[in-house]
Amino acid sequence: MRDPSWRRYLRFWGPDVRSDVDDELAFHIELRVDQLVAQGMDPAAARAAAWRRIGDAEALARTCREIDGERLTNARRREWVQGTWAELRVAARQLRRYPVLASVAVLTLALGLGASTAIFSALYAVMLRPLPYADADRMVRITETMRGAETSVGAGQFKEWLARSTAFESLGAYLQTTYNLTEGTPERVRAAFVTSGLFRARYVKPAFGRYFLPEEDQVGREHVVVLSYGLFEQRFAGDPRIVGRPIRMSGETYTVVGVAPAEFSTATPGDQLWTALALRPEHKASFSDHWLTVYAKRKPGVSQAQAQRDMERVSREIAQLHPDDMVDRSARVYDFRDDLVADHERSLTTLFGAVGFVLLLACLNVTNLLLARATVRRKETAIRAALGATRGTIVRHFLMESLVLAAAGAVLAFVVSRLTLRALLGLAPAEIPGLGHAGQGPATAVFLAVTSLGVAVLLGLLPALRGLRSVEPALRMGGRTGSATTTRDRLRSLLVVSEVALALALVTGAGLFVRSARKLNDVDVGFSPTGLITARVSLASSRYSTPEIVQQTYLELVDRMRRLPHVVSASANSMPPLAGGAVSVDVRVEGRAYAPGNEPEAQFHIVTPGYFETAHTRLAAGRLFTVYDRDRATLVAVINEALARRLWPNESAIGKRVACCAEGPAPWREVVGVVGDTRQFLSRVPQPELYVPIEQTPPTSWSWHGNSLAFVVRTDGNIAEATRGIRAAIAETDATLPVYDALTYDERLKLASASNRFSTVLFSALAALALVLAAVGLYGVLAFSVAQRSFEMGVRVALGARPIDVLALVSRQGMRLVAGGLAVGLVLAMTASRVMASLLYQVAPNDPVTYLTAGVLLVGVGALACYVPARRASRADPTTALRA
Amino acid sequence: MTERVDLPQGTLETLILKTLTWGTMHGFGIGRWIEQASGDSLTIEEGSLYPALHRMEKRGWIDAEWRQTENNRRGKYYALTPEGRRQLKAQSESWLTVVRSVGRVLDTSKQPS
Repeated sequence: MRDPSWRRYLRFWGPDVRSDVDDELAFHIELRVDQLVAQGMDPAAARAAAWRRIGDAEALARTCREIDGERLTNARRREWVQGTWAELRVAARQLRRYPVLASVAVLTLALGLGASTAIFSALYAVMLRPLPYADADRMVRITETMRGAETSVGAGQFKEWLARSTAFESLGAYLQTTYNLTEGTPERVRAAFVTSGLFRARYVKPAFGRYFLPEEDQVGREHVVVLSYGLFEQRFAGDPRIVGRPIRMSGETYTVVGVAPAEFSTATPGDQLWTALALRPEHKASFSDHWLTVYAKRKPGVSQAQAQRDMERVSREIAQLHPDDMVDRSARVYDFRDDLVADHERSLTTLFGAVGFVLLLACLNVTNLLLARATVRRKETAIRAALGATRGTIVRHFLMESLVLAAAGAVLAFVVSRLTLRALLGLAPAEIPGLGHAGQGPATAVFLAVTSLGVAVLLGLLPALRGLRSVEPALRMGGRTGSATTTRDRLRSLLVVSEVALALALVTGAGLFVRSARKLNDVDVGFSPTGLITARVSLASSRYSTPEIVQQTYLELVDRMRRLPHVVSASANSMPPLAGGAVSVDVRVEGRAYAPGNEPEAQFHIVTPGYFETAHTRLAAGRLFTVYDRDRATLVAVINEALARRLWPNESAIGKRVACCAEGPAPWREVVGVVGDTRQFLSRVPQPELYVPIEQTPPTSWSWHGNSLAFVVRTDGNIAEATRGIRAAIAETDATLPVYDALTYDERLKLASASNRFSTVLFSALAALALVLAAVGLYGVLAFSVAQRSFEMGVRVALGARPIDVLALVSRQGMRLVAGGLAVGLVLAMTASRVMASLLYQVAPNDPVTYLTAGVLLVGVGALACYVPARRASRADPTTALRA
Repeated sequence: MTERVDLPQGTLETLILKTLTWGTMHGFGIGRWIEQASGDSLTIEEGSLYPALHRMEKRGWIDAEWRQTENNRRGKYYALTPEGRRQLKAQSESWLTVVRSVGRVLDTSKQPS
């Protein structure tokens, strides 16, 4: 390409705008004088006339100088861009001459950057992405508290909050439920009762129609429904004419008043529709049942702390009206966003920290490679300096090289991050809110670009400074270096030590998760999961109007299932283990009074006879339920060992009498059996549990479960056939009954450990990457050092060193670095793993077994990385080495 | 004395470009040539000419170069760049269109119907 002429001009004359303009004007005057003299004018008069003609010469010169100044600025900018571009091309060309080094560096950076970008996009989607709601920063969730612990909200309390609180512009109550949607194929839908205030506290413009009106919070007006956008598209073909039409759900008719937009959600996984919550007068009068979730929006200008104080005042006022129900009770206001991500914040930030370690490791590794090259290129740099390259130019040259590497790494990292993100989303537990948005929007790209630029500077700086420092001595030095220990080697050794330290921290982290996973795997769930399946139905329609009909239908269904092929035994339980959720009741004990707030609680189960036998739950004392435990027989209960310990720590529970659940003086039940503990949640210790036989359950208890029960069926292993049989049996009884929550216990266990598995797999992958990077780093330093010291090795061998001596010498050098790294890494790991404590299950963050294993693993990998270069050194042929 | 006319905005640049099609020239020469070519009905003032030249150089329509003259003076000579040539073509076309249209209107003897 031809140089633009301004460059020639610049080079030759220099950018002296002032004298250029003056010279040009002077030249003009001369020519004008010539002309006038030729016309017969006297030279002095001609000169005066020439100047007069120009007028304000100074103003003219100023104007021209300004224009020239702008031209030069543009030119300089263009020259800088072109110069940099040329430098970049030179750097790229030079890197092409070292294809192995360049590809290792690019690949390392791509992995580090890609993994960080993927984790960042997940973190951003969950924790930082702006929420789609109006005034999202003022959205809160309010709970009641009981001695500081969060509880659900009583309907009475909610009514008082609405009337008494002053900090909020809207308050809405929320209660999850399910419906049998019988438009077309019957389907169980996830739904929620909400008061009209909820849609104001969490507002996005409706897609069609409207949300609930305040008057629809009243009994008699509540048969209205707002559809989620997903359900609207999937069940109603996305036709807005559905608004205003009636639909049938669980045997009743509801009017569709609106469709919420796609971004509106109230739970993860999302609720599919919302119906109006009309609190009955008896609900509003009750301050002892706590079953609502309350969302609100603070008034503008009201701070979180002011809102909290307001709710504490309101709670004190309620306590004056209802002292018995408000013992140790108050309320707490949570920021909506913080609250939403609270469960996942720790695991995501921990992962982000880990991936930051990996990125740092990758950078150290590439820096190490570049340092090695800077050493080889000392002469080249020195010559450039001698030829007049300024320090700035030399630094720029190094920076260009790292920029090329980082840019190539970033391009590849984009691909890596996409793949990582896909794997990550496949692995992630379903309940992380907003994770589906990961990787969308510009935030991820911005993160990648900024991080890559940072990495480029980081990578270039150290070799550049090193390059600068070596400028003078390099030229003076001869071609061969005898000494092994220079500052440069110390610096590179330091880098390797850091790499080993980071790797140890990551491997330890992964190890802690793996140990946790194994502990979770070994948890005694209290029943035998293999071959056990569950499926839930809900007898919600008007056909099942009395508890007797409900009980009878369930018993018949269980009976049908028992006779199916591939079914070993069948039973039902209102809240089977590991199915998520529980119904808690206060337990009263005959002849005992507990202080208010200290009443024993238990998780309540309705079971059919044969449930414990089917689940293989151990009988610890007494007997299990039989078919004779029915309505007119003595009322009985079976409790688990946790409840037995809580109520009768030092005596047998059998024959004692308890009561629960019903309003007023409840009939006493005799405890006939004690069974082993089972888990409702995999990682939580078993809770006290109370089982009652289906034919003796209090009628109100059916409403707690929405008339639903889960069938618990033991199969002979042919799960597919058994499941088909179960569905057919249900359809024969009532074709409109949707079967839902149908899962095997193997699947349930997998779901229950999903969040732990997520952390474990990701951490393990990061740790493996870290190990490889650290090994490559160690190998690189040793191999380079061996190559540099080939002369010394030659001398050693010539003087009688055996190969084994040389091997030991090099290995010692390497293992010293590993040992240093382990020492630093131990401190790092002990500090960093403390933040993981809450993510671990029954493993202490400083678990010695994990640390020992991680250390041994690193020593092993380190030894391997040392062995290859050490062996090469030991095979040094003295003649070749010395002649070189 | 001939009648003096003022140049419309931007026309000077077109004229400079036209002048430079004859070859490399210094500022004084360009001014003189335009004056002579107009039959001395135009006076090109230095206060307009030189800023125009520098502006055009900044835009890359013309190149400048310092040269020795025959009587050993140092002068700044301007030459057309390819971009300048393109500009000239475009500007003279639009100028002629304007002139023709205005002329046609002024020459019309019929009253509009």
